[in-house]
Amino acid sequence: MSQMGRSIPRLEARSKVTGRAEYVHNMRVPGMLTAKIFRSTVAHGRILSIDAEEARGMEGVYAVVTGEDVRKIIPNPYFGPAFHDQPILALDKVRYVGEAVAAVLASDPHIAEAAVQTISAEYEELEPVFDEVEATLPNSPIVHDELKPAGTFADLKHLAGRKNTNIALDYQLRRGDVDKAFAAAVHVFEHEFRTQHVLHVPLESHASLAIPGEGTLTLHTSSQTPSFVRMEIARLLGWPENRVHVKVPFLGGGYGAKVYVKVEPLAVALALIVRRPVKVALTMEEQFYTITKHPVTFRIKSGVDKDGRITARKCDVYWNGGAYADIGPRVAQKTGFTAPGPYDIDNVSIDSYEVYTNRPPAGALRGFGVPQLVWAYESHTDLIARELGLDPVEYRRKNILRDGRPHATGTIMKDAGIDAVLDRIAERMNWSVAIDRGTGRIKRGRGIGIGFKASISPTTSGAIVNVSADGSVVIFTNTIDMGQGSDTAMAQLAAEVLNIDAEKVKVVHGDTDAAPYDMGTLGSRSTFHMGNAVKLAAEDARDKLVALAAEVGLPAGTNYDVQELFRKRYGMRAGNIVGVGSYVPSYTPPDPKTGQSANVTPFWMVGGAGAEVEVDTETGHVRVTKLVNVADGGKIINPKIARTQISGGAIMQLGFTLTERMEFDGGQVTNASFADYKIPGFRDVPPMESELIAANQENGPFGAKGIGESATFGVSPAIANAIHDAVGVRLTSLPIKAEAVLRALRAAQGNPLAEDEE
Amino acid sequence: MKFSGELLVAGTPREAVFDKLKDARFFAGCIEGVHDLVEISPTQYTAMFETKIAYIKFKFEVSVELTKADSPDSIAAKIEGKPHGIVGRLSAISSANFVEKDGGTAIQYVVEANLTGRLGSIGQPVLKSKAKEMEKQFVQNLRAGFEGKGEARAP
Repeated sequence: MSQMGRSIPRLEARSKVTGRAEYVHNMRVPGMLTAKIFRSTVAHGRILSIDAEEARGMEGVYAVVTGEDVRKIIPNPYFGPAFHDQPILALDKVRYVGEAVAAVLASDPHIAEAAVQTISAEYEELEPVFDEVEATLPNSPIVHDELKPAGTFADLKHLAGRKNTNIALDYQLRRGDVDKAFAAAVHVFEHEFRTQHVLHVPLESHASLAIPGEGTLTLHTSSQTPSFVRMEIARLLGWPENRVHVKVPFLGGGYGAKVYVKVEPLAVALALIVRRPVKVALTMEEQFYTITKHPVTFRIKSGVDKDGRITARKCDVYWNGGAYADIGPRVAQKTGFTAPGPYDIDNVSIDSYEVYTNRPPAGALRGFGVPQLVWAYESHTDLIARELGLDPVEYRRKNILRDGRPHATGTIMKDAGIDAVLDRIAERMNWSVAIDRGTGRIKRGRGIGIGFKASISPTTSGAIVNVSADGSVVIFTNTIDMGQGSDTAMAQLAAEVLNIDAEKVKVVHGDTDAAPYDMGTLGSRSTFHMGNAVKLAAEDARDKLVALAAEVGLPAGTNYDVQELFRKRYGMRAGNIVGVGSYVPSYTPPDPKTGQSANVTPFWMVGGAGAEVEVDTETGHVRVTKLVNVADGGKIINPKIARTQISGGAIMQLGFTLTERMEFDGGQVTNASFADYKIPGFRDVPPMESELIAANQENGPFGAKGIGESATFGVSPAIANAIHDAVGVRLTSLPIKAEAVLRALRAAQGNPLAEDEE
Repeated sequence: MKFSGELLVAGTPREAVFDKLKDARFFAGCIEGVHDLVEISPTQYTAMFETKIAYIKFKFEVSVELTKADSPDSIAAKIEGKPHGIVGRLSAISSANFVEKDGGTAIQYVVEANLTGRLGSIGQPVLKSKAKEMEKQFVQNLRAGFEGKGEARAP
């Protein structure tokens, strides 16, 4: 029986609902100390002194550690995937409110926490900058004296040593002749859209437990990227990688919050300083100081000919990366090149800036920046269609980027079901039939949004498939199951090759001593990359079994019992077969000046949404009455789990669209708790339909590809477009709270609400 | 957090209003919970500030620096506070302009206050309403002080 397309329950489901699944937060080892963190209270300043005398003297406090203490054992204690700019504990300067400045260690976490409250620090305050556009202007305060690219990425090398700038990366793409096309255009449209500061809030916060050994180190951590953690820790310590053992159990959500390294370097540094196991486990509040999603300002300009075809598009995107680069420069580049949207446009110009500010760092969050871009270009597309008096679906069909046509990078589109996704949304929305517009104070409207995303390229995944003498199978992989069901998907892929039941496969994930390198569980890359690696490893094992059958004298094509093969070969139940697989897709790096590349991504993710809304014209309250989510996931491995990825992605984006916003006052996040930062609850989920179109990704494992982010793309613009359709006002900033809608309605009536000074 | 407002002191010339407000003891007496005012120099003071927010008592060590005193036009001060027993920092810039109005003086004030650390991150919504309440009380005390209807409490 084929294992593809089987909706088997998740392999780990029972262990999770019975509370047996392991998480780092719950781990304890003998002699373990817990660290609590003293954080900066200024947004930008030089550290003059840190007074921790009282904390050191408190009973039960084992040690207080500052950045200078860390520097004694790690001479260059700066980490980061793209730039080595983030100190393990602040050194010399602090760059945002909430930055880690010192750590208190105690056996009792409550004592450590109480001791933190007695620490104080003196700072020489410097002028901060918070806005991503202001930070690029001359005379802006400078967050980092000098840019320090990590050297991991060849295309960041030119930035080394750049001074007096907050622009960590300036990515550009040029195709055709934009100026000429604008001059020739019949219509020119220009808009600016903004997105707010939000964050991931996985229900399990970051946690790392570092256990020092004899010249070795074991690190249990809630990471999406165990291989990178091992590399980065080994680099910081100057150790060979084989002396660092990284283990990752299940994660209680990740969404990009746990990629690369976050609290791992601190746990390691503390453990090595005190020579005891140390756990760093963040609270929910501390997540707000750790990693967030980029707020974006996107200026978009389009030229349109007399037939409504888009002939030119200019995109200026400013990414607010906060105080440390994290993976932001990759976001600005790898996502930046999709800024013109899934449209067939001959003349394109993109400038995408990753900008340092004095806010908490921003990194990757479910979509790697794509939802911010789709928000802008799909709102813009809707405005153009409206202005031209064209139906928004028809207008998109006229301009859509189809397979066989070149994308702005020059890469020819393939296996990207953009048109099919659009068609299915229109069908499910019953678009050809007019909707009831509502009566009285309640007005109704509908809108759509579609988006696409390239895969981060080129990245590598390796896997091992082990067949034991009893025929049972174990997969060793560094893809982390954080709720998305990757263990189950990998089991199904291996089982498909080995012709066994997926339920019988065991998956060992997140162990750098056991499983090969993997770039990371991020960017919807695992099904495609690790899926291909697991498939190759399973094929390798299958081929070795066939060879073994020949070796023991079975004629080719014989049905054999695996146990019998091993018994025949080893004379008893013994031995095993190890299949290995490694996968890296082909890739052509883009030209640094023009961004052109013949092969910029191994596959495209496509997703879109359609929304129907009711707007209360007296209060501005918006109710989503229908949300349709459609994505192209290639061939689907496990339809039930795949659909939960679609609905989950859409619900998460619904929160970013309607309710979530980190509020800041003088650099301080003022709503760092679930009491004040509102994520969607079950009662907030609108009537929703989720669909994966019939498709095939030719180079994917059995035709499959990633789907973790696709449902986030279209939600925000679909809702803004629906609101415009309902009440004729346009929201250009997220989130769309009732107050914003009411302000827009009142402004449109020439009766604006008074500005609130706060 | 930003607060602004206007308070009219009837029948009092700008100079008199300015002088009274520049008197740190009078000024501090208008703020509930301020005590132990110490003059470090004619432009620098320290004090303790105690307040109760949502059933929890907080104590701040406060330092005040008079950054501008243009008699009789305007006055400005920088305030810094450190809470006891919790990581945090209160910083505020407060300024007032004195404008002649109907034979008296209008005090136009702006206070911009930031609270960082634990209190600022999760307590802000509560603190905002507390600050508004304090602002109201302050204006009332100030009015009483000028009108002589009730002497501002000596700190």
